[in-house]
Amino acid sequence: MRSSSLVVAALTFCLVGQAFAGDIVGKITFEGAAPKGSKIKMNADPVCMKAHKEPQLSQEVIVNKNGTLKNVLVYVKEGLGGKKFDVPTSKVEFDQIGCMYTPHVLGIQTGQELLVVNSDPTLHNVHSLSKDNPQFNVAQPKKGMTLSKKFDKPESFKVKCEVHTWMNAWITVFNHPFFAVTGDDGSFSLKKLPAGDYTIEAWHEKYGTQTMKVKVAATGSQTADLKFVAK
Amino acid sequence: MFEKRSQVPIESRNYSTYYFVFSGLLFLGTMWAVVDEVSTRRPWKEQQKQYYALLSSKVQERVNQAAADLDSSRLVELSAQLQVAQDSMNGPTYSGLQGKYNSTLKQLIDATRDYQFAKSRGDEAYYFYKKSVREGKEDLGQKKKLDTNEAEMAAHQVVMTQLEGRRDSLFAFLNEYRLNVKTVQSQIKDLQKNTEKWETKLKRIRSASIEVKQVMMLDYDRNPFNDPKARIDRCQTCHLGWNEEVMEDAPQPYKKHPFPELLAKHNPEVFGCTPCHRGQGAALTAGFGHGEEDHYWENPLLKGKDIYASCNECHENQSSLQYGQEFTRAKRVMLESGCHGCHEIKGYADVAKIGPELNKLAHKTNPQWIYRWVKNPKDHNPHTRMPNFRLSDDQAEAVTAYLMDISSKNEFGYMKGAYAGGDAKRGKQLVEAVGCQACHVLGENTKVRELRGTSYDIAPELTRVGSKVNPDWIYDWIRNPRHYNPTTKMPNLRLSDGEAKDVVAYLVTLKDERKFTDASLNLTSAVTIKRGERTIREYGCNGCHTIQGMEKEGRVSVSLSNFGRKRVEEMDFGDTEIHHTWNDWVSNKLKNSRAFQTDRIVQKMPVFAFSDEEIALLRMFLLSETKDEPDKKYIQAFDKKQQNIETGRRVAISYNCQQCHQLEKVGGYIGATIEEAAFLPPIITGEGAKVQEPWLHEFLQSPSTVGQPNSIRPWIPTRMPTFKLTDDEIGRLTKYFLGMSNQELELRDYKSYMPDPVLLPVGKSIFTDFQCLKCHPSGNTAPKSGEASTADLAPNLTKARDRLKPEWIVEWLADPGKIQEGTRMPTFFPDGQSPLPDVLGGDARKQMMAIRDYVISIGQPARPVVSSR
Amino acid sequence: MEYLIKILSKPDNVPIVVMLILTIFYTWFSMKKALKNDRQDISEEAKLADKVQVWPYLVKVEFLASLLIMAILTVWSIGLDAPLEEPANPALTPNPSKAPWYFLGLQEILVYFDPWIAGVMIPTLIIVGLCAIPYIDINPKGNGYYTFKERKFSILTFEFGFIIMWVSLIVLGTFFRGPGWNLFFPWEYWDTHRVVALTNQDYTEFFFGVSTRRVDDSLNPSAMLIGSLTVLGWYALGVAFYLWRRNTDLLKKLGPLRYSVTAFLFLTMMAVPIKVILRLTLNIKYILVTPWFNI
Repeated sequence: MRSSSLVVAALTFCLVGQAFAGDIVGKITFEGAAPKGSKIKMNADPVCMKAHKEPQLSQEVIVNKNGTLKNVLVYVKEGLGGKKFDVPTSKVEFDQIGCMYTPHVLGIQTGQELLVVNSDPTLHNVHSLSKDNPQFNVAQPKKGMTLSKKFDKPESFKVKCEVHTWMNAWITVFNHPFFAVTGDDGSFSLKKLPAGDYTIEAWHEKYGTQTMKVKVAATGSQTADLKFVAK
Repeated sequence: MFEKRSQVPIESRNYSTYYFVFSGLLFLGTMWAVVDEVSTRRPWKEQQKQYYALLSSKVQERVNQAAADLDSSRLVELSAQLQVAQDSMNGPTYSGLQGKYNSTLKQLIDATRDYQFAKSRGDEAYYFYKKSVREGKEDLGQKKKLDTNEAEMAAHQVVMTQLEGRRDSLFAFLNEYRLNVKTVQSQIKDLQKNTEKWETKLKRIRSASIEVKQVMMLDYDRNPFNDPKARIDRCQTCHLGWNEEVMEDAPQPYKKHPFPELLAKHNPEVFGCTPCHRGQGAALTAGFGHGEEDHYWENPLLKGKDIYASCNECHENQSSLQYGQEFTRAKRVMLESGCHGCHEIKGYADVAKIGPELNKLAHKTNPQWIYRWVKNPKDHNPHTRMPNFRLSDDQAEAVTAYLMDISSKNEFGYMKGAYAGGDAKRGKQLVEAVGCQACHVLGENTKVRELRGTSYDIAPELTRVGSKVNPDWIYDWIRNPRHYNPTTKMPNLRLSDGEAKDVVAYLVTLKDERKFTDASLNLTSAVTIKRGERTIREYGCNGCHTIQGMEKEGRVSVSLSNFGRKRVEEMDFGDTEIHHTWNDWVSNKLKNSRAFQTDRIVQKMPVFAFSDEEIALLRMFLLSETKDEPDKKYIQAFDKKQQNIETGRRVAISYNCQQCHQLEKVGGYIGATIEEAAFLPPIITGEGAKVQEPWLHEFLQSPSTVGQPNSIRPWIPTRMPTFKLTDDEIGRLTKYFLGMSNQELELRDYKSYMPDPVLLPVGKSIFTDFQCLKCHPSGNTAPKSGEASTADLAPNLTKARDRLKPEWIVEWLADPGKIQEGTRMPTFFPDGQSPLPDVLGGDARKQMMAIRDYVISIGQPARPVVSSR
Repeated sequence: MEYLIKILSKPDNVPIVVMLILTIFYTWFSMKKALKNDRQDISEEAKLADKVQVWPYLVKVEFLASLLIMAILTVWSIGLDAPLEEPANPALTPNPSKAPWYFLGLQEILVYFDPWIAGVMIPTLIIVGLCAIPYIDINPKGNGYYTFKERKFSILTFEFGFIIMWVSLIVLGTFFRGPGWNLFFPWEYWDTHRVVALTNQDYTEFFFGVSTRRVDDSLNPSAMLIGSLTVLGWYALGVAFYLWRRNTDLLKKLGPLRYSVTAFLFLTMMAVPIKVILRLTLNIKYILVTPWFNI
């Protein structure tokens, strides 16, 4: 995922003067007791059963060891005005492996190519529950099958597999390249943002959204840490 | 010399100042008249100029965009190729060839001429020779001359053939050069096609003339003497951009029309704008055209959702319009509220009454309840469709007396006490599961009502039913509703004896918790009964209910067939202070039908409880009720197909199919109470294309397949009830479904369909490859319980053979989402491409047919074709 | 009052307003001149010794006047559009349904008389009477100059007939008759639903208690008799006046024929406002009811 950007804002202490000027970096922390992930019962499909030795946990809430939250989508919500950005030529890969979607949360730019891959030797289908973009529901009965899709309109929607009902993922389409998903360390960075005032938003499928205003200067990098609280 | 002008002799008076001033005034006045005529009174000229300026700037943008999108490197490349090709045509090789070609051509022309001359001379010699022979003195000289010339011709022929060959080969060389140029040129043209398209458009816009754009329909209207009258529409003089794709976001009046699919059927170029939008078509200023300045124009522009009112002028017979959902909803509210019971409404004269028959009422409930109900039905059931007649105590007592009198005289045989022994808890589960709540609201669960969005329920709310009816009656009713009321819409849910007892046990617990002191009613006095009869007649209860003794009564109120044209002067506003307009009168009347009652004027129309939205819809509907009807040729023929659809649609409406099923994009309200999406009743809009007619007939007659072990999805708890439809009604519904799928009713022998022996094994292998059984249980291969939730199961394919139309299966496989939006069935052939390139040559269509044949064979009794595998 | 102003300012009522002003102005103007002349022995006009040719001196002034009028008409036609109302529909006539303004006096008379009398007899008499003026007016005075003293009867009769009756009936019909042809005062809103008490009675019943019709709905001969006598009595006034003043110069000069024509026309003219007043004040419907006509 190409994200980018710029700038700086108050309180930068670590990256001042460095070459990565104009970025927003930060962490998504989690407060409170992490809910126990429910175990997924894959016994409907023996292929899925065989793929894992231990039962998999639901991907809905994953709290990392360092107390950060995984699978949070962070993006610039306001402040870009009507600027247009080039469409990246790189593809975003969306894999079905072990009867799970990888990644569970992903962002993509309008016009960018999404490559849906089936790495399981069983029938999967990807059913997009999009509203603004045309829905699709395509079966991939064989291992190694791929499907390529592009989206014209920005929106956020769920994707699910009708064969394996536990499988679901979230795709968000943006008309700019400034978005990132937190990983195992709960950090994110939005790179090469033009100088200006921005509102960034963090979204989690269970805990909703958090927003923050960030000022980005022409050089330097700005940290923006956000926090979700257990419900 | 003279002090006053009057003293100057008339002969010497000078008038030149007057002349100058007056003629100056006249001149200025005339100039003003010219300016007024040419510009002030023709604001559309300026608007057209602005429009074309805006349009050309937008098209210019497209031109620039197209130029920017142009693959410029490719253009450079092609231009270079063109240059090379053209250069080579100017090179020495080409001119050398051209020279040779020219000289060859010259030689050929010479040779041809020599040949022609020789031939001509030969012909002459032949003539004289023949003549001499006939005259008996053969001229051998001529004969010789003929032979010589023929020999000469042959020689020339040889030369000519040679030359022609040479010419052709030279031409081929030359042509190759020319073709090169042409090919590159056409490639360049292709590349610039888009740019050129927009440039041509731009040129056309720049040369557009400023003029009145007028659509004339010579016989659209009728005058009061029924003679044809022209309708002239000049709306497009200002609304120029209705069909311009680039004007989508332009400001009014230049904006593109938002519903091109509607315009496809109502082309403004020949149909104008006012038939739908109304307004003064001939006017050329917004104020007069739209009606803000001309208050006298009888058809001012329809605004907002009122626009759908004009649909009725041509579509009065239809209760549903694809592109007029507001119109459809308005008609639905009108029909469901029973307006047609008291008012004559064009096209709805023979629609059934909406209320229940009251002739056996005494066996169902008690007089105290009837008394309270007729006094104010909303008190017992706030969402009932029965309006409040605001009867006085006396009137209510009299009505109760009459109803008790007629109904207690009628026999109704039902077993007393048979209901006993049910379990209320099981009854509650049953009521929640089998589908009662599709129509009946119960307690807190108002989801269906909310989803439906109407202020009223389509069936009685059951929250207080225990205080309304007696348990004996409930038992009899739910076992067979037609026993008590042969014309009821309440279907039979096929409850077993035990189930029915459980349900009764539950329903009787639903009591009205409020305390009522029983009114002392005198129900036996003949005078009271007589007064009750008169009150019922006067208030028109028979408009909705069948009541003994009232069979011959007509509608009690006025016809609404020209209500949309009713003038404000004809409306009585009583003591109210509202604005004297049609809209205000109607809105207030619908809000409170007694609003205009005064101490002298008694109004009998009962008070409804419509929501503001329903009032707006009904107002729009009333606005649509006019006698205006365009000439026949402008109306879409209400042909056989349309009639079939409409009659079937009315059957569907009358049985409330849409409470459970989505039909024509409306309905499926029961969905609000069902959490599992897979358990929803199916969308049946495309049923005509999907299922075999004999199956549909059998299913509608006795839909016992659902909810029972041998059904398509036996795990669904909700039951398709038995409506006891007559063959006639089933026929209408079948034609309705077929009509909506653009199919005709025809006799087909589905049973004889034989799978193709070649395709069958292929189909089986694709079926396995695609792992269809993952979701579709078929035969004995259904997943064992515990493996997958029943909610994730797809229909059992063993039923497909007797149920589905073979051609539908192929269409379904091609793109399930297109047939049923949001279906969980994925497509295996995205964009018509097969994922199996090695099977049947990768022909997706053939593969679908193979799957189809296999699926059909699944439910087939063993036959040689199958056993030979 | 706002309603009256609204009606007055309607483009199609502008001519009536102009007519009112012009009528008043010219009446005042001519009377002023006449009174001035009457006070002196010789009229102002006679003092002007010189007389000039129509061509070119009068025509010149008329031409200038026509220029001015054309200029005014042009500006008027630009400024005030012809008032269009709803498209004509014979099945749905407007309420009130009014004739062009210059006929509204006649339409107003229809309220008080039978259509036959109001629509045919009275207009005919007006035209015939106007035609007859040169033959019955044999007074040579007043030619070429303004005078009142010498033509008192003719001027008063004319002013009465034209201004009091004709113009005021037009004004009444235009500005005071609203929906249902009911009478509305200037401060009243023209309410379509206005209810007016219907209490008209015939003359004989009102004054003598003799009803026009008997219980079986046939005409009552005694009522007819009283009515006829009243009408005849009215015209007998003319005869009485003649007998009383027959020796005066005036009546001698007129002679019995001219006198009887003049008296008939004059009495008929005077009868119209009397009937109007009787209707408006006492709700008298008819004086005389016959099977053929009602007065």
